[in-house]
Amino acid sequence: MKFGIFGGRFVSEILYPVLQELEDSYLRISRDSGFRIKLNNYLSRYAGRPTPLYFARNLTEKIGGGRIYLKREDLLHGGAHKINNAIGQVLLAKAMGKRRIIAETGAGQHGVATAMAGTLLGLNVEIFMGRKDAERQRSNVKRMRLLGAGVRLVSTGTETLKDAINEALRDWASSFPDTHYLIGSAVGPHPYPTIVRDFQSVIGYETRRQFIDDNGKLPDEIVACVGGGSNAIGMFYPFLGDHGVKLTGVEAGGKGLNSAHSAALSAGEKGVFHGMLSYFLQDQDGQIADVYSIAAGLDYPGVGPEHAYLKELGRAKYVYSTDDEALQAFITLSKTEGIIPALESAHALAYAMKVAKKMTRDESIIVNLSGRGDKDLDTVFAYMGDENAP
Amino acid sequence: MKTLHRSLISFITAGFPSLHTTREYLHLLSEYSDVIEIGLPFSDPVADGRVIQLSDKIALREGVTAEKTFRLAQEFKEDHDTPLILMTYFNPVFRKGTEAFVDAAHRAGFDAMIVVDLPIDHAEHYLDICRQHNVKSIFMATPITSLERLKIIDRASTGFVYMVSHLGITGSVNNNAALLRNAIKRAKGIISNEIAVGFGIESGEEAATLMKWGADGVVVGSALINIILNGQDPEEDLRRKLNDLRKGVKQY
Repeated sequence: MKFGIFGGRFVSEILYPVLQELEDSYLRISRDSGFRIKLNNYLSRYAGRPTPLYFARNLTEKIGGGRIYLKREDLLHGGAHKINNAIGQVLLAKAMGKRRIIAETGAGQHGVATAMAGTLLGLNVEIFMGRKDAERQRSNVKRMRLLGAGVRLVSTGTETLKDAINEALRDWASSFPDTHYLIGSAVGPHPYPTIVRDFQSVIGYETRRQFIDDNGKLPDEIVACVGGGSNAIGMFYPFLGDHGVKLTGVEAGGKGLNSAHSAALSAGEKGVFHGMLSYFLQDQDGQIADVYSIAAGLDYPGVGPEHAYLKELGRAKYVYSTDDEALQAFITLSKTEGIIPALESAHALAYAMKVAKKMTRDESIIVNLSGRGDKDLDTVFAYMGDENAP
Repeated sequence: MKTLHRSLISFITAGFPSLHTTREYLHLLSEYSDVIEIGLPFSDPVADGRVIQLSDKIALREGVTAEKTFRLAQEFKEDHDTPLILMTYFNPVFRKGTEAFVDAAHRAGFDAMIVVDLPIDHAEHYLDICRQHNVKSIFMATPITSLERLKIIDRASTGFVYMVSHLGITGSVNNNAALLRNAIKRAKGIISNEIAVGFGIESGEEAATLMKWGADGVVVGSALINIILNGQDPEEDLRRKLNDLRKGVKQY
């Protein structure tokens, strides 16, 4: 139930037994070979796994240092890694006899993935989304509706991901008998951080195999963006025992750590919120802070408890990229490789480009390209102003 | 806090609608209530419905902190002996340090605490601290809590066991009366603490029914906050509501 001191199940008495039951069901169902075969089938034939591990030659040459590889989760159905977990948890919910799925979404990618998986497998889906996020990710709201999901706009608090989770938890406190709450990030009360990590670790297992097949050795460093941290933990987990491989999570530095940002591991304190003991941006009184990032998917005041643990252990390092750095990386990758990355993933890319520059030519760094950036075009062009737009 | 003996337990959010007015409302509540529960406002009250969410938001905008909440209790206790319960989410406790927080609550005059998102399973340290500082620990149970778990909750609770009337958030309406009725009856048979029932209770009639079913007390929160938020004449409306509730609690 815990990652060192982190994690746990800090919820009201109403939800405690519900989570217990979820844990028991998950342990039983996920070991079932029929379940695993079904999951793998959907992942390969519906979602598009395995995704390529792509050597970014143009970008590598432009930077002039280590070899940069991209794990192309952006090529998955729906345009992000979120579908890995969504299919897994919808199958789990079905096996548990649930008829309805609720989920939170920030950038909308998890909402879209859940809507797809729910439609595919015949469950009703309702997505909670902060009003501010719905405004900056309009196309994803339309996609969710088209896919048959109800979208409930959340106007409380900062109207972003944190508030969407709050509202989903409130719904679940009464709806749990027939409803599964499909958390999209590696956050929340136990067993969610473990479930999400398990379903996302397909990213890391594939990457490890692909890199060894191509190079006969392990990479030197792996970089992934961290909001709640699902793509990062899925990528890191299979490499935890490979001590020669540096693992680096990149948080959203927003306008800088002295200004608005959402870098919980870089600048937060230990706390207990959303059911878990982890790092949170908060004030002296333990009130959760209003946070900010240009990337809606990273705009969260906390972080998954396993990342907190990996930081404490020193096994992974956590840094941040600012809005501006992420934007530059967004444009650079588009112009050099013809790949438009999600703004979330662009945070990881921005840091990786800095590291690659200092690497030798025979060193390698892998960036988890967790999503594609089509959803971010309005945000990027508005941020840059029409005359400066690329 | 002695025993409940048919208690009306009224809830108000500290600093709502302002620190000064909470002070006045506490006086008013104490005229009708046997116990008062003061909520420390939290930025993200995930177990609360719209009404208490709004009161938290207003209180935080007023600049209410744990420190100010403690001072509010202390001032109240100077001329009242109504027992006070502090209701809070866990993060403010954790951030200050459980020991420091519980100690401060005790020195401010709080007799008991309820920590909404601290289940018994994570409460070992907190319970030690509460015992050391002579603060009673109240835990929640639900109408579907297993007998086995109910016993553990009973052992951890001092003061009373807080039975939520139904599965949901504060202020939402109970649509399964039979389930609650059975739950109260069942719990009375096996636990040693008294039972107070809360969540969504609005009228003296409902309170009377709960007492008839075996509750030892009734907790009313959202209905009172709602009057302060929307009442034409909040003070008068509040008195009328409290009078009605008190009658309901005491009549049976």
